Amino acid sequence: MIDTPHALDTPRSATGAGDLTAHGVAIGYDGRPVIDGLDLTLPQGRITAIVGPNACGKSTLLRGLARLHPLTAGRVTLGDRDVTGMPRKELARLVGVLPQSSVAPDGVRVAELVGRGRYPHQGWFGRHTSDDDVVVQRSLEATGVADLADRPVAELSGGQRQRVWIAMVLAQETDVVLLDEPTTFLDVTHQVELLDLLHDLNRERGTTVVMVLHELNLAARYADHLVVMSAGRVVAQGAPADVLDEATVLSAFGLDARVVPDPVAGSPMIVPVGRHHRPDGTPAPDGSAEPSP
Amino acid sequence: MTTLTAVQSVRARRSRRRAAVLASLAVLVVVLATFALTIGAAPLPPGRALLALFGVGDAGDLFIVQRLRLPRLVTALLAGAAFGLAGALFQSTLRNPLASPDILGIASGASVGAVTVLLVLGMTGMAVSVGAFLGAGTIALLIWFFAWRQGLHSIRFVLVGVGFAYLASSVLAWMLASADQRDAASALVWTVGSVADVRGAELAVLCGGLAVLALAAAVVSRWQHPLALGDDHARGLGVATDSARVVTLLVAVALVALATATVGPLAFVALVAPAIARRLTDDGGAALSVSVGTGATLVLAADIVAQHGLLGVAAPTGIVTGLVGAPYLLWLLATHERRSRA
Amino acid sequence: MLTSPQVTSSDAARQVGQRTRRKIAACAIALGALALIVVASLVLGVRDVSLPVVWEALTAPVAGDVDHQVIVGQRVPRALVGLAAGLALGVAGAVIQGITRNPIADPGLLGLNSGASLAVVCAVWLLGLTAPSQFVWFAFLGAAAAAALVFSIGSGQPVRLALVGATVTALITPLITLVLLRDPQAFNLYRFWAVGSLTGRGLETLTVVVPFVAVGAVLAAGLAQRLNMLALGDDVARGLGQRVGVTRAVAGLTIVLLAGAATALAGPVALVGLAVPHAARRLVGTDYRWVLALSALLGPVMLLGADVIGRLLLPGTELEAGVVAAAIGAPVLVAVARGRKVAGV
Repeated sequence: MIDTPHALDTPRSATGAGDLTAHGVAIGYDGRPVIDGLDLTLPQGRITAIVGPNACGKSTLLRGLARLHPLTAGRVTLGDRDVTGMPRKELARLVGVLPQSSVAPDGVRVAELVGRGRYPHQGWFGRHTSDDDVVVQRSLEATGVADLADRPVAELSGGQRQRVWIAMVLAQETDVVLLDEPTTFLDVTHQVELLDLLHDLNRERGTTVVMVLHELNLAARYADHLVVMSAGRVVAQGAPADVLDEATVLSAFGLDARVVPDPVAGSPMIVPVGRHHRPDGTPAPDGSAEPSP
Repeated sequence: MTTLTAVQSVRARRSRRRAAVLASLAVLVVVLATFALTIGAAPLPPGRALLALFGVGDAGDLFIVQRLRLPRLVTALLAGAAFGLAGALFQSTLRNPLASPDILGIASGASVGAVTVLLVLGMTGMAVSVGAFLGAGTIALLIWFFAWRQGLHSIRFVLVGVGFAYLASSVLAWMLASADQRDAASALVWTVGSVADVRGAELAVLCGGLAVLALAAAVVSRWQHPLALGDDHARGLGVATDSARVVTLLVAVALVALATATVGPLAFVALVAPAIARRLTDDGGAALSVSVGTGATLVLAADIVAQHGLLGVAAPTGIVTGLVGAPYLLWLLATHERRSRA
Repeated sequence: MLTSPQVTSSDAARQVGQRTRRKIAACAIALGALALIVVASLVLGVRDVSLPVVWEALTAPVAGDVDHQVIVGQRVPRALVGLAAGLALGVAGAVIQGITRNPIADPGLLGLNSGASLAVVCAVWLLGLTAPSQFVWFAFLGAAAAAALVFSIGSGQPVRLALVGATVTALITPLITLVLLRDPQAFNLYRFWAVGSLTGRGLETLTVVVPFVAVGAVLAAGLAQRLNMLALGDDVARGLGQRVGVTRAVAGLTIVLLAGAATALAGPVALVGLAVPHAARRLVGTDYRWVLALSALLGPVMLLGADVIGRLLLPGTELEAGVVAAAIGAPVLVAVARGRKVAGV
């Protein structure tokens, strides 16, 4: 495909859309606020991982940033543009999002599903052009599912399927990609493969990647910028090495853990203590977690 | 290079399949239409019928073909197309294969409106069509009003619609039961629907309305692919899901109301035609254009059976649409989905 | 975060206790409402009869007393028909929604009502039957045949079951209309039967049908835990040791027994089988043991309540229970649909 000039050929970081910033954002469900007055800046061209215990509001925040869920107050900007009032289609050309659960329609094939990501770039009658085919091809190749192009999505394994969905988001050709727990339901091999893939995207295309992750050690290893949330607030943010220490893990997750350097990457690695492996005589740090008799 | 070829071939095969399906339906429609023009109380050979269609032949032939058979043929095709398209829009927008005007109460609403005009006001003719249109529109608005809660959710719309469907059909049953027997029988005929006796002004309204609504459907069709992925994905791709659903349903309701006002409810065409179309195309899409074709074919075939008394009695079209479409859909359900999981 | 286990478990126990008490309260209130409505259905009507006279009619009927005749001959059978048909519809609806996992599934949607109607219409047309009490077996057979067709084609996948049911309805409805258009006599009888009503069914009809309701109710009770597992998905149910195919078959039988009996008794009554399980789920949550129990109570509350209201609404005449049930059921369904979370089925 050397002969087809296309936007993907040039690195996008030079023309990046700017930082994604939340200003005093409040989000709730049915009048019950989950997040209230949150300010946060997600740096352009970096990988940001948002971590936190269950129900801390990290997915809600991501949904609010992507306008999957309405804000009850505040606004979100991308660079100097206001995302909150922007036409959705325009936003979809700037920010791609992979929600937590994705169900493909019956009978749809991989290349077609990825092609649906071209929607924001298509006109009134949604004509699919040969340029769209090229973008689909690149997205398939970038996510390593090129050989599946012809297969029905329903027949794929979980890991393959998740890659196909990411390929669909890539086909949107956005500067920013938001992913809500993209590694859920994947085994550890596929988790690492997927994060390597996102890393490549970020380094090669300059795509800003923001993801909600459960797995702390992988988040610490792959993120340039780590945001730790608890009870709807940001309790710490910054480079993983600066943010992830034993005190933060204890206060955000209520988990007593040692933090040691990752023997492979050197990033901080969390080793939980648990009730059964506490060295004799060491009291639990907050005095409440007693080893069971 | 090979990946690009694969991507292109997936798309090309899809278009080829859709083109093949549409072409087969077109051939089927031409054959059926020719048949419809030739048979009847005064049988004409196909050649003479076609000549008469283009204004060549004696006055008797011209009258039979252009005045008697052609309007009925055109009505069947247009009404079928409208119901097929409307059903496809309902089902894809609400992401529920059962969401059709029959199940959602819009057909029953039209019936209540028409039967009210027939039995309570004692009027006939155009007033009945107006009553049907108002009935369908009222039920649709009620469903809307009650289903709207911080946006328009599919499940809510379907559930509220089913509630109103039962309410309307119950009211209808009660109206039929409390009316005089002769009046009730004529009202019953209306609730079945027939493409006979649609002439002049009514046909022109159907034609013009359908043209406008088909254009509108072509515009809303672009939302159907993103919506099929679920609300989150659709929003992520830049679709304002609530307004997309509202506008799509508005087009679908207008199609149903228009067609029902002209020919009556024509049972289950809107349910069955898109289901058949989706299985013929099998690409996970809404199959809008193919539904237009299956709807038109279905109603035309049904009307030929109904008109020429192949059931031993000359029956209204609406009786036969269910009898023709439903077994075919059952056969598709029994065979097709056994291999590919639903 | 790390609280001591004792506190957690006693908190949890208290919460569970509270929830159980709420469920029991809901069932008790439903039972009370049912008792009230039964009494009302005996007392109220075009001819109001006072409570002592009702008691007299039940315990020591006097031959020739008009009031006593009305009570024993008409209102008691009518109340019993309402109880049996309502219970059958409520429970059948809950089982159908559990087995199809489709919130709009009900006996009507699965084609059972149309099957029963076709059989009744054919019986009137071909055999010349005239009384609702003669329709019983035909309604039953029709419902069973339709169910057999629907389950044999649609078995396996819940989504498909509902679609097949709707298609079978699409097939049968025009057949019914065809017969009605050919035979004005059949239409004349059918249009009254099709509204759905509790009148004109004597005690002998009831004694024929009630055993079916009883067997169906017992089967449904046995299905409750299996439906709970099935709600978690076929695979989870299999993992928990359930034979999913057997559950579906038993559920199919239960549905035919209950819905067939209800249609045989009261005609194709709309919306009770749909609205009642939704209302029950709203009140007691998703545990099918409670949903089934409460549906069994709310079904007759709704059907018999509709019958009583139908007697009072228009002076001098009665509105059929089927119409009133639809008029009550639609708002119930709308309220459920508008709830914060449309109950997961």
